Amino acid sequence: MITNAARLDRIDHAKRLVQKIFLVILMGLSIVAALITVFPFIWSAILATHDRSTIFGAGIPLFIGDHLGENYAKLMEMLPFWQAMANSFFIAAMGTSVSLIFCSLGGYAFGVYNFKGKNALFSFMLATMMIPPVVGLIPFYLIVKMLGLLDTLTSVWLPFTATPFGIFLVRQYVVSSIPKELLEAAKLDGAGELRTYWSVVLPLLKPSLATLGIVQFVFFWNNFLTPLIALNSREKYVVTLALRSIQNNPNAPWGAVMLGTTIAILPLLVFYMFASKKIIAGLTSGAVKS
Amino acid sequence: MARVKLEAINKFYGKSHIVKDFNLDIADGEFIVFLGPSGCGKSTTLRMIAGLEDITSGSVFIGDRLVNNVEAADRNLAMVFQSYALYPHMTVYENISFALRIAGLAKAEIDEKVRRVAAMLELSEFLNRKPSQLSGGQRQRVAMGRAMVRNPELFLFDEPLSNLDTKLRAQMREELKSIHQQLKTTTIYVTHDQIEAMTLADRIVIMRNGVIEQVGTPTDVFLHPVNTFVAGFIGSPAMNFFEATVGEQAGQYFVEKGPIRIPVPRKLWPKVSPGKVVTAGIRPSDIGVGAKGQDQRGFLPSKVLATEIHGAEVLVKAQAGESAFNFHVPLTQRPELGRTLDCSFELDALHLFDKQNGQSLANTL
Repeated sequence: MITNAARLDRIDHAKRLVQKIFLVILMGLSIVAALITVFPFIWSAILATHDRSTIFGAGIPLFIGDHLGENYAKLMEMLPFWQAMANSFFIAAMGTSVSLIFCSLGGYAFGVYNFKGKNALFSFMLATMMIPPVVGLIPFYLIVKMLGLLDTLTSVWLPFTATPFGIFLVRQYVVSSIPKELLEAAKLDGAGELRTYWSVVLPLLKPSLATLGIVQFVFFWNNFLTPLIALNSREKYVVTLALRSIQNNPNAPWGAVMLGTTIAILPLLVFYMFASKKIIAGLTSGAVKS
Repeated sequence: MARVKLEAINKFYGKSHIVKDFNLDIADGEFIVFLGPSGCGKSTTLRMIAGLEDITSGSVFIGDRLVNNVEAADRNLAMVFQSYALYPHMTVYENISFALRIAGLAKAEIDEKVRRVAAMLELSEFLNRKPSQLSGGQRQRVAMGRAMVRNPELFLFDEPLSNLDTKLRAQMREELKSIHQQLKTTTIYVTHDQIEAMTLADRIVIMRNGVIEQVGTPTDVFLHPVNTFVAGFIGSPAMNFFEATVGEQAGQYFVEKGPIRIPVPRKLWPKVSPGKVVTAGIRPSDIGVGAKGQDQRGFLPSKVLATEIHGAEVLVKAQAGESAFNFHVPLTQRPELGRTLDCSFELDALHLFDKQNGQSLANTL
């Protein structure tokens, strides 16, 4: 005769087994999803070591080839590659830095001050996030032309420094994480508006600014459409535009293109490795009570 | 140090009238406590004095200066917030010195002032720590240090001890008192805790629904409450109330309800007349067991319903007729449930209030 305790034990054991199986399936699915995500990057790195004939030959080359040096030489010959990398880095750095200033000021204002039309203005700003970026390309071109910024690096970073997403992100962080009393204490301590922002608010916004900084850096680094429209001179090319420009050749050297792509990914990869925790922390901050 | 004068202060939020015709004169160096239940307007009044809240109408004077339109930073006052409002990214030293750095004082002078205040508050060894590395009591002291270092004319405290545990609160109360005695700076302190109010205040301002109910010394408000609200709010456990009717026999007045029959103190005779319904109040601390047969005492034959041990004393919940009473007895004399006790009190301890408006009859003499 089975006692009650033994029956409960068996139910417990079965429950644990089902849980374990579920976990294994979940883990398997996650691994497959991760492989699908990572595969294009690894494959482009592998293709960077092959020449055109192996790439377009029979079968997919999944082994490391021996044309790396040759591809590098071709890349350098066809493009001012490092110049393009430097341009990309410049616009990403400038765009990100200025974004942080503008968005933190905008987000702080929306989070703290009360002014007429604040809600309407905030809603209008959020609504602009719903418009596909492509729709704004022609107005972007006309404005940049009117300002005399065509074919300058400024044209591809300055117009994107006050972003609705950035202002929204900072505003949410200000509302959830900066107590009103802290600002009042600063006011009583004699700090003016700018001093309060600079000495009290800005240091506390660090987590949200880190997130915004990463998002903006990636955006500027990957940006392709606006440089395509605004930049003409080869020496002004950013890396996305430079790599695209050699793909138009009838005999495009895909090995060199893949090498350029792989090199272009590296700065972001390094950035991510150091900052992934910050991104997650910044995006979820304020979601849970600490 | 400064005298503070509030004249006919009113505050509206939309249509809600939060502070109503608030008048108060605070003497130079006085420690005033605003006491009242949540939502009574005490913090709003404090914030209006601080300049953090606009005044709908009325005038605030600090010293001889009308400060209605003076910026908070220029009112020469310091405030300690309930949440301390310490700058989390700054060290204790930076927190305390922040206002001095803004004022553009020389480094050496800042250093001297910060270290003097830190020594006074026993914070010297924590100057390089961030607020997150401090205990609640230490954070509280940093907040006070930040206020003290500026040597303001006026200190404002907005429920500064509410986040501390009971033991630490008692310790900080003592420290606050001793600091005030040293500095003699005019202080306005907001709390809903009557023990804080009683221990710290020179005068207590008791508020309800944006209106001042009574202003007086702690002894005054405890012994001579002007109405049933103050009588019930001050004192723990709260005053016992029961409705009674005034009677007269052989030229002597008494109040009675069921088996309770208490002579009215002679000083209140001009305010009572036979048949008048009043609210009678007796503090639990004024009720004792025994003393039957003595003159000048009121008697409450009470049946014990429940008892609660409060350390050295036992709170007895009893009933006399239809009226419930609370009073204390020593722990060693804890009565049995259901037993009838001969409770009595000094007649002078009897408070009588007008049943209609709740005002003390003694107060309208």
